[in-house]
Amino acid sequence: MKKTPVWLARFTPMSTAGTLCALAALSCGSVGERAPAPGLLPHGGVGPFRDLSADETGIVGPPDGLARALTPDALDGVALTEAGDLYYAGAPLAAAPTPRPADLPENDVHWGAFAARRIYRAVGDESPSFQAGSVVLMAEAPWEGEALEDPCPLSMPDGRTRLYYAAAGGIGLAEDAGSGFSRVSAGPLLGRVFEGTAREGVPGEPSVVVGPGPAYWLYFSVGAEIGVARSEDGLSFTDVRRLDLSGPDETTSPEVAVASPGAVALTTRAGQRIVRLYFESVRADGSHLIYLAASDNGVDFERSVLPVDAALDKRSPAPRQVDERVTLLYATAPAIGAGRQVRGLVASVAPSVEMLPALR
Amino acid sequence: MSRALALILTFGAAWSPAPALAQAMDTFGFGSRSAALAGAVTADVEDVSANYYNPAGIVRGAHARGSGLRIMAGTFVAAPMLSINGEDSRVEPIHGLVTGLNVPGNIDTFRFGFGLGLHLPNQRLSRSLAPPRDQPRWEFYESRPHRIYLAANLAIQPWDFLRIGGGIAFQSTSDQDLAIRGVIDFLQPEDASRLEHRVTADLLAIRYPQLGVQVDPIDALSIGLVYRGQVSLGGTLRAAVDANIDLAGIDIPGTFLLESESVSLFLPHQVSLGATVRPTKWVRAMAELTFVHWAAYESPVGSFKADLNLDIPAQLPLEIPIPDIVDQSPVPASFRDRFVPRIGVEVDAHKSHGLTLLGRAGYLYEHSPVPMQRGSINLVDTNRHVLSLGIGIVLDDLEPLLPGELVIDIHGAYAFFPDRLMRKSSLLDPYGDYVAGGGLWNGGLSAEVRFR
Repeated sequence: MKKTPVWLARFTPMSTAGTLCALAALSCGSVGERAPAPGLLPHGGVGPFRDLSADETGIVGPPDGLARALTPDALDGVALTEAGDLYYAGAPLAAAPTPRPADLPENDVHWGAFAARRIYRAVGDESPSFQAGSVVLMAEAPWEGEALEDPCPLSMPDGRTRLYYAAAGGIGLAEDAGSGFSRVSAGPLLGRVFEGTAREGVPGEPSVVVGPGPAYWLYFSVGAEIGVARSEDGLSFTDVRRLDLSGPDETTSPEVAVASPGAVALTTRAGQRIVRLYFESVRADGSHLIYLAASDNGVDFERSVLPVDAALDKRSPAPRQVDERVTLLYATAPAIGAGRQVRGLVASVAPSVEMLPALR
Repeated sequence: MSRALALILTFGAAWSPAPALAQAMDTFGFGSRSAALAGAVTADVEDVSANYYNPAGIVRGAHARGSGLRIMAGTFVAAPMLSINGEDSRVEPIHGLVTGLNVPGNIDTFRFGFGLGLHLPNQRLSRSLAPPRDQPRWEFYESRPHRIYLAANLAIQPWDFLRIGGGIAFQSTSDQDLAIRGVIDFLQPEDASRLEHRVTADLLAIRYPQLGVQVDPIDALSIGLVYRGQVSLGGTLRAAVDANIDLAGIDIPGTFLLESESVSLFLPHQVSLGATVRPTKWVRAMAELTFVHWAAYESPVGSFKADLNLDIPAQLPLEIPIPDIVDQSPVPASFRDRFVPRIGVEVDAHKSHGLTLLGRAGYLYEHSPVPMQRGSINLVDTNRHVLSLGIGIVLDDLEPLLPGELVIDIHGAYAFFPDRLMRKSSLLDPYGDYVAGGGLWNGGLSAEVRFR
């Protein structure tokens, strides 16, 4: 006789069907759901930077990313405080402007058409753009010559604002304790550098940060190079040396100079104090590209292989670290103001997916 | 270079398929009883979850309790709360169905059993992610749970104290092709282009073995050993763009071919050794150690090749500089093997006629196999501590409605991911140093009918 397996004898269709139905009721099914968008990712400030749109700045260009309405005045050498106030060198139209030289490069400003440059301050607000500023400092001392250029503000813990600037004789310093800027010393903080060498020259385009050490690090341009000096108090700078910013370069036109250092210091998640140095790379074909180099000791830098911005003529990079993810990069770009070649203030942001106006 | 070209090249260079690693049962458990015990059940599992934890247990229940067919169905849900630098990573929650059955039998005194187990996420059948190569991603939690798992097993009990089981497990993966054709407007690529695309995806199944043994040297002690085989499945993602660039009415034919190869699915060898002691008839304590061979994982980031061709008409005096697209090679994972300790305890909290209540708790620790991500690749993972709790309700006086027992198990678990700092070698790393961490809640309910 065929034996029925034991388990079949105890297994009835009705109880099984009912059981399966009951168990199936426990299951749930749904049509496929859309996955959520990825979360915000960290960003190392290396770009690529995206020009802010007119919706973000409230100002319509050209140029792209215009962050201050064009005026007949000329603007040059920009920098920002951590809180977002803008300092720049500018000048109104001269009473008797001289003709533009024929051999002046197309996008360069003919400063002979303008009065002596002085330093302006424009107070920031919720937006990344600025109104026209007011004059805070003009050339006075004999060593300064006629013009003040390339301001670099530094907010101090006690509320003072230090203003480093370039002039004919070197780099000077003024301070504002709340009642206006007054000069700290009668002469330049840093006069001629690399004396007795082929690199000897007057430093300009200062950019000062409190970086690794901790110490004050003053980055400046001299000739076709960028140098650095160190200070314990931000007043007396020593250990002046040239920065080696060489590195792999994938751009076709060779580099002929580096200039306009724009430094920002920050502390990484690993607790490391580093300096990010944005600078101009001047090319043989006349383009001015913005690169980034970073250092954990203020002196030895690792340089980016590619420019951080796609523009072929942006100058005077001025970074502002909004938070550990977002970097705003201000600069100047060619523009036409009142029929003259000037340079407009432009702003870009990285990571490029970041949409402003959430800034402050 | 035109924005249109930039669009194509950026699209191509960024595309790098991300593989899924391991399986959801390792993370969330299979069946609420076993999940509540942190998976430390290799030695004496006997319910439908034996189809994952130890196939030998399929035939155990029939001998231990005189039960016959077992059918289980349940649901699970998991809610990750993972972050990088304090920003929510938005790892997708997952929910789905687990089900299975154990069918015991005997030929004279020779006992055997057959089992099936199914883990079915109900959001989608399969999921593939293709983020940029260097984009930080939670390697074990983004695609890993979104896969179907099916196991079919056979178990025998040659002697009363020895059970042996084995079978085949199936996982799903997919292979994709993307084709794009049309016209790209050179001057207004985003607004005036006319493109159509076709995606072809094949859902594939891969198989790997699993074997298990349970030994009861004495009544109060059970020992179990299980092995799960390794699977490494390569996948290819191909994209072909066949489009004309429209430059103010002049057509420039072009093609762009992309091929990315990577490991689309990797399951490491696993060996688990566990023991369960029953000091009294109402307490069971489990401990288990699992070895996971992650060092065999070659690379989660595969190779990438691309080829761009433009046929510029002779009448067009135009030079379009096309930058070199550098082929990319696989990046070694350098994962480390790990041991995963698990412990669990189950207590008969209440026993009366027709009703038994059980309480359960478990803990496991997983040390991350992922090394410090100092380079350009960012596979995010941290160590994991999991604490689980659960209850079981056994109703065994249900005749004539049900000729057997109805067992309802509920579990909840919390996984804690301590913050881990990823420190980069380069100060110019696109993402910089970052801290990853967070938590993960999961829970579920399963109901099993055990026919007598």
